[in-house]
Amino acid sequence: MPTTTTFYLILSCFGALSLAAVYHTILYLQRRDKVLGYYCLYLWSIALYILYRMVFLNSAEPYMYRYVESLHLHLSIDSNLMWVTFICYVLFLGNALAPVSGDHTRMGRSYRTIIYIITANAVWENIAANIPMEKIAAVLAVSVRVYLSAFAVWVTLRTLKKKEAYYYSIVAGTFAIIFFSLLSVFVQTSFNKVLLNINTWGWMMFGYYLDVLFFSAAMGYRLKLVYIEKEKALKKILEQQTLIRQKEAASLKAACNAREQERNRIATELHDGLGGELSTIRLMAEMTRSPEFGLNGKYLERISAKSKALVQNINEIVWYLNNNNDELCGVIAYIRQFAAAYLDEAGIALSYREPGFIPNIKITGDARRQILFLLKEALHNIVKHAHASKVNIHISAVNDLVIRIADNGIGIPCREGNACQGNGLRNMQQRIGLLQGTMQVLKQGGTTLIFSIPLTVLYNKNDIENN
Amino acid sequence: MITTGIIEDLEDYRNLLQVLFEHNNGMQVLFCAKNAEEAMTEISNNKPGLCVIDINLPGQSGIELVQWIRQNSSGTLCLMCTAYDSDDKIFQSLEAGAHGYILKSEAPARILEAVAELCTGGSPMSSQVARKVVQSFRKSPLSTAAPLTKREEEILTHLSKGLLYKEIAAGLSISTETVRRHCFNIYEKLHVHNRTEALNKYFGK
Repeated sequence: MPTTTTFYLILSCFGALSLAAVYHTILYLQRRDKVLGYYCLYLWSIALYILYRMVFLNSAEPYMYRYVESLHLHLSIDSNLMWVTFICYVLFLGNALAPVSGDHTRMGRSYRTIIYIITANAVWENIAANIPMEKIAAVLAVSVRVYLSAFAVWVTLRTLKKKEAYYYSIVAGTFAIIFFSLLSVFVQTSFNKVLLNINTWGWMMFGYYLDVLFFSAAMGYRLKLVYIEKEKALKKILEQQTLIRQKEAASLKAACNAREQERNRIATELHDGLGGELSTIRLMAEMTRSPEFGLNGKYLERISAKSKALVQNINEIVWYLNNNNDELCGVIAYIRQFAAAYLDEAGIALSYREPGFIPNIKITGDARRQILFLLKEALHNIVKHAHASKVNIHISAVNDLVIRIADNGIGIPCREGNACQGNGLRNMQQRIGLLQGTMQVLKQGGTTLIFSIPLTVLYNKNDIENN
Repeated sequence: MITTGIIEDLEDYRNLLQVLFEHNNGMQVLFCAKNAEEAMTEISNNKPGLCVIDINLPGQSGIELVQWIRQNSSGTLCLMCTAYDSDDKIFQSLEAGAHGYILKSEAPARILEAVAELCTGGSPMSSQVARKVVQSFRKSPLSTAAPLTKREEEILTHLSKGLLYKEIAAGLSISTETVRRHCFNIYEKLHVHNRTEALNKYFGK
């Protein structure tokens, strides 16, 4: 029969324990934290164990071994319940310390072995209850307890490496239960099984009480840590989102700027090109009208030629502004047709070699404009200055777009040295430089111009639909 | 005698075309219209042999007029009149049923030539138009109703690579008129192909 002190001690500890169990269960249902879940399991297992003992310790019925009628077996229920608390404790400890251990696998394996050993021992005790093997049973019982204590001490020492409140609390809790278990065993084996009016079970209760106190504190710290982690993760996501939004805004702005630049360029081209030519046409017409200037009908022919040239210019603008015309093979066909018509009109023979293979890529409108300009310049020079009778054009498109224009004319007049750069050639160098390409001028039986532009530069990176 | 109708919203150009055509002995101008709606009324009454249609009309577009003509006056040839030969609308009108096109800025003699050519079954085709025709045929395989002949395929390929008529003619030992005749026929097959496509889309395959 326990003393009154022990009885009140047990009752109050049970009260505190069940309160902790209920509170942490509610907390778990809210937070769904894994470690908290295991802790609740541990708390309820202890509560059940204490309840069992409370019911049977105060009565005359045996509590250590009970005979179960239906199975015709003696079962050491008391011991089983104790081992259940141990298993829950190990599970809890394993999960609570999980982030700590560097070598996660070794800790994990040792925890699993513990659980197997405890389960095996529990089963063994049930068997031992029915078979008289007292000496062996006693030895096993002691050795298992020693092993468990050693394990608990080892875990405690490892945990001390981390210097945080969370780990300190767990260490304190483990220490408390080890200390009071040892104390209760000590009391059991001596002192008439009573110390300070409290028996072994009473001292165990102390252990449980302090243990739960520290572990609950640990849970409190843990929940705070979890909360902080979540806040950090949220902050990180928000930062990433802001970055993405900034990038989007920047790229939109860049696209806007590019479009604005293009508009300005087109406006300049129309302004410079058309304005002057149309004004000339007007003046020609006016002055041809009035007989006082003595301009004969010849100017009418010039008006006609100029107008036709202007329409052709605008036609080219329509061509390179229209993104439906951006396929490389279409571009090559267009410049071939242009060259053939232009040379045909000037009475110069064309020998054309087409590319063997044309990659299926799209070229930006600006690049098309520049390529067309280079071609026109080169052909214009040939027709106006070279006095050539034959032109060879070869186009290839492997890694670079290479356009080779060779005429059999009189060549580019050069004063001296390698750098033969008339205004037209310099302009062409500039233009092709803008496309990160190169221009070679060869003088072999006439003039050969080789334009080379990397396909990666021409490729339309802003083609949103097809990228 | 070629009976013509002129549908053009630019007054000066319309008048000039009328003078040009009337000056030609082989041609007669039945009517001049400044928009598609007027044209439809006139065509219903007059049934010209050939219509010169401006590609940019106010109100109903030139393309819609072509579709209407194909349904209501199928004997009338449609010649589209355009300022730029890079205009996307050229191919769209050809698909809808036009037989050819001329550039507005061509010399007067060339305009008359184009009209006469169309009446004998010859049409022009630029490299861009050729590429679009190829794409159109490739997008959905040709129905057995109007397959291209080998010669037509050859010419179409050469045109889409940017060869001139005289180069193609020289290469195949035919005349440029023959090349243009093949273009005319290719357009006819394009019309059939387009109609079949439209029907297929409507009735589902």
